[in-house]
Amino acid sequence: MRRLTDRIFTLLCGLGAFIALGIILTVLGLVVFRGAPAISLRFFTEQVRSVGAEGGIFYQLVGTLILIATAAVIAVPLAAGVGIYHQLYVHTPRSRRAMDAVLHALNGIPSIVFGLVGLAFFVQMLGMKKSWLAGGILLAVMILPTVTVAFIERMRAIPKVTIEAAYGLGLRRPQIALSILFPQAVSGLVTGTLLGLARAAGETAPIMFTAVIFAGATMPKGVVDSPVLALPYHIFVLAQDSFDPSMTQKMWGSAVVLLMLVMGLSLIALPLRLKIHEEARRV
Amino acid sequence: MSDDILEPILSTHQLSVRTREGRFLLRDVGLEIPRRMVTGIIGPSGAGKSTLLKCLNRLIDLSGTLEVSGKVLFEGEDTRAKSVDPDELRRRIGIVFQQPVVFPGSVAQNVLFAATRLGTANRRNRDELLEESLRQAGLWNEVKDRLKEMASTLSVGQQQRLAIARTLAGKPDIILMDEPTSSLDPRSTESIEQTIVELKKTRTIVLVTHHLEQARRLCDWVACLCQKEGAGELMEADRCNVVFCSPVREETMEYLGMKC
Repeated sequence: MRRLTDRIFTLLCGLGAFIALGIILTVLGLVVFRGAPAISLRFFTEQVRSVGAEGGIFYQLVGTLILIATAAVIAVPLAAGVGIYHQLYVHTPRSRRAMDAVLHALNGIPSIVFGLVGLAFFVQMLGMKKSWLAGGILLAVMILPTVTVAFIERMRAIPKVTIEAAYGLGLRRPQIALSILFPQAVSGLVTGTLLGLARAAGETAPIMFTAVIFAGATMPKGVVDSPVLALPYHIFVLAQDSFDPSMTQKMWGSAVVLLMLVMGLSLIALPLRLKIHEEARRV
Repeated sequence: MSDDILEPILSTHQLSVRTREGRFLLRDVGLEIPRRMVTGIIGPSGAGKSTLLKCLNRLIDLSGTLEVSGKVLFEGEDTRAKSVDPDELRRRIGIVFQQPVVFPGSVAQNVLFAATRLGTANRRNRDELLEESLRQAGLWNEVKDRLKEMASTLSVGQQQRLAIARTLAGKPDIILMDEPTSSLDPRSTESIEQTIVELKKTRTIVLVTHHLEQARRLCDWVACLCQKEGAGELMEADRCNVVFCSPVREETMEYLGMKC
């Protein structure tokens, strides 16, 4: 009986893993199969032409990179500050739990809500119109919990007695942050940032009202009324309007590039995550 | 405690520690720590020895869940007064933990870890301070050729002496030691004990220990804490031979294994 239960359990687990892997491979295969014919060097270096039916995705790629770079520049120092505050300045378990709850709640806000808030605040209240900066800030806020939680988790893996020993030597909190927490937990910050950016790169909703247009934008020349092009929005518009087969092919090509970008960021983060787990196990 | 201690460097008055729920860990501890001597704190597990130690340099403040009342006077000044900087207090009252703590980095970087950041060590006195601290901790001869090696490559006993050297580099007046030899083999224990004997010539040492023989060997004064009604209380504190040979309190006698 025990052997039978064991076999059924193994079978169910194996089936679950097979289905999950199958779905991922099907999605990847479909996107790559449909998009690969569109991929060429010119696809990366040319501007979009004929409403997406011709040309490449140069400025969409540049716009996406501008948005995620802006998000990283804003989110990383903020997350570092929140994480250090969480570890060194919040002492009571209740306050820490409250902070954790806020971070997780922020992580659960749907991206379309970020888009609407961004529209109301940046576009309507501040009068920025569509701007790469507004989009970058929104994406930064959106990924802030991911980056912060990864940083905090890594800091939690540092033995408590190490931090206590640093206090015991008379070091001040900023010195402990710079000499103990950052050097030992920076990998968490990097991992969280890469994972957060992988998510941000694929988001359409937060940027569609605040930062991007479909065509006509090149490099941003200012902060106000300075939209960019972006891959997710490009795919979104092409998917809505694509009756032309060449347009459909460009859409799938763009999807392949976006997928590679997102997967690339996640893959860079993977060795760092493994290193963190390995270090945490050794502690 | 006998009244022949002149000017204790550190003293506690009605010191109590309790949890937010109101459970006492320590109750009304009044203790005087004599200058340049080894004061041992002994007592059964759960009597609040480590808690008392952490009250002396306000490391207890980091717990976030414990409330401290009463007074701790360091050189006559209330350590909980608003004018007192807790970080500076912790530099002057250093602590060595049960498990040796090694920071990532070389032996030299570990010894000078706090000293460089607190400005005690500079380019001119760096090497001198490094050697002096390691010599005082009884580790110089063993590591003088390994100063650039990772500190984690040292044996556990050496790591503990490295932690002592690191504390000494900060030039503390008092060193608190929380069972510093409990995780060490007899040979390393002997080295640490020799270090303590040397250190007491220039420093005040407060040693929490479970080893009664160690307390007998090293301590000039001994304070015995026992648990009463769930909270640690000071039973008695006196010269080492007085506490060990003619204790007054029944709880002390019981802890020391003497028949009442």
